[in-house]
Amino acid sequence: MKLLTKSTLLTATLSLFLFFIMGVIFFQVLKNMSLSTLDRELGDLKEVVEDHMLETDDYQNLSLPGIDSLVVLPVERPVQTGVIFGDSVMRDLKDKQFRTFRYLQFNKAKGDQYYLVTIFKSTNPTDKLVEQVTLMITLMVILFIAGIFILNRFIFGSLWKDFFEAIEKLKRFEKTKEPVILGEQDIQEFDELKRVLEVMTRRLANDYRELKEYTDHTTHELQTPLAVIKSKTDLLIQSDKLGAHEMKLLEAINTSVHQLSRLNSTLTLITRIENRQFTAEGEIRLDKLLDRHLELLHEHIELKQIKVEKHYNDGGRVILMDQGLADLLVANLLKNAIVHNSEGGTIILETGPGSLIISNDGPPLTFDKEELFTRFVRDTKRSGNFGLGLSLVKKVCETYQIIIEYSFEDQRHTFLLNLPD
Amino acid sequence: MFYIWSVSCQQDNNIAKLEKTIWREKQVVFYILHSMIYSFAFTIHIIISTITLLAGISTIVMSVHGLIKRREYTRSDLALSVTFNVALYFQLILGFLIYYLLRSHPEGSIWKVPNTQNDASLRFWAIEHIALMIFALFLTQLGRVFIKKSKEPFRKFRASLFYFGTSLFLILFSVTMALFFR
Repeated sequence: MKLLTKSTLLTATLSLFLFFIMGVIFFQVLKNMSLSTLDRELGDLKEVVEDHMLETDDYQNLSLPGIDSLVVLPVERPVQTGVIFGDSVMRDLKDKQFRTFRYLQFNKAKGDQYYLVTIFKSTNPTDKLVEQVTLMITLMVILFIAGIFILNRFIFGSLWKDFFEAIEKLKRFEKTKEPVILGEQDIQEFDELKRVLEVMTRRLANDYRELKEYTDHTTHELQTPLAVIKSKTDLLIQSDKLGAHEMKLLEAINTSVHQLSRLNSTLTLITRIENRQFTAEGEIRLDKLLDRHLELLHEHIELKQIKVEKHYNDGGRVILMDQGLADLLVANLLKNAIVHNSEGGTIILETGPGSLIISNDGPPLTFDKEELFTRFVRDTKRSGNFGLGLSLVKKVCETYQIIIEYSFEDQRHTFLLNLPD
Repeated sequence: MFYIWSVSCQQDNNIAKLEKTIWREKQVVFYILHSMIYSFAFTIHIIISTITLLAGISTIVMSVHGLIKRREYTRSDLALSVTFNVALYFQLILGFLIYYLLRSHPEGSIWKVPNTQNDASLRFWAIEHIALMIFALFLTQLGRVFIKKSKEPFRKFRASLFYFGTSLFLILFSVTMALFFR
């Protein structure tokens, strides 16, 4: 969930509850207030009625301002003592509707005669007020929450702008490896974040640069002495003054030097790929590329009596890649499929609209699947390779945003390459 | 001259009588239509309220089950919560229709006549009902947004329990008020 969404939702929820509690309190207070106001008014009217009753005897036609209805009943003896407040319903003859009334009942003695007096007052105006205010409060919540959504968007956008900028710069750090330097921060927390990020990324960038330089230098500087050793051993082998025992030793030295030189050149290649020194992009057809490399490797294939099945379904799709790197990628994958194949096994090549699948028979891996693409991880029983081939493949894939997946099922190793659009 | 005048006068009188009967008929038709729409809306309101209540209760039961079993948030959970929310929206529309019909009816008799003397607490029942239900609707809507935006099933169930639970509580509160005070 996004920060903005979560903060808005939580604010909305909390304010909803606040509004609800406020609404309930407001409603109750308003209700009680309207009731007590009505009762007080009735109390005032009672005095007015009592005054009028002293002056006149015609009670039935007594009409006074503020009183909606007045009933005066002559009774033999007082029915009740004191004053009674109550609610009642009456049918309005004018608009034929039931209306609620608040009434006040009291006893009044005049001479020997007792009267039961009831004063009615309509609750309609106050009810309407309470009703409308409550409805308004309820509907105001909608407006309020809409307001929160809009305000939050603005406030949030301006407050967290620097934070999102920092995240963007950190994302770019992955590619550029340049220290993340943020602008002046207004908010204290972001200022701290800025300082921590700067220190951290600067150190990371430094470490990375030093490591790169070290690899660059060593691979480069190793080349000259290696070339010297190679040429000198060649010269020594050609000399005829050596015995059989010395020749054996020289042979061993020669093999090791050749291995070392190959290792050095592969490492140089990896460094060059990492430094993005291959930028030339050419149009490459996958099926032609595969066929060419199969042709180059056909001796090895025949030697191990491997059958090759080809399923080209990409419709002659063209991908943009450096020619050298494309060769490197396919050659390494095919070599891998041949070397680790069992005697008389099969290789299946399959291309789709956005994928390349290379699978071969073979015994399961002796190490963890996760370490397959890391450098110098190899099957310890086999010699002669350094476990750098798949590492190269991985590097090339990373350069061109190709996703490579490995799986092992039914004694088959499968590499799936998802090509980008 | 006088004759013509009296005839025209009589005609006027007849027309006025006719208009009056037409007006009366119109009035009667209006009454009947009004009552029909009202009773229809009210019946639907009650039917949907049953569905809402069932959907609400099953949503709560499902989210408690989900929280205890720690299972995935399935389509049926979503369907139940959406049913709850959408039913409440229908109720809102129907409720406002009923409220309007009640207030506008020329014959006030559809207002249920309170039969006790102390009816002060009942005067605002409709208003309390409307306010409570609107809050319940808001809660379910917020809950749906929360569930949609959450990723983990645990959070989804928790949000579902909180929002729909509170909403259901408000509804049940209003229902008990209606049952015991009316």
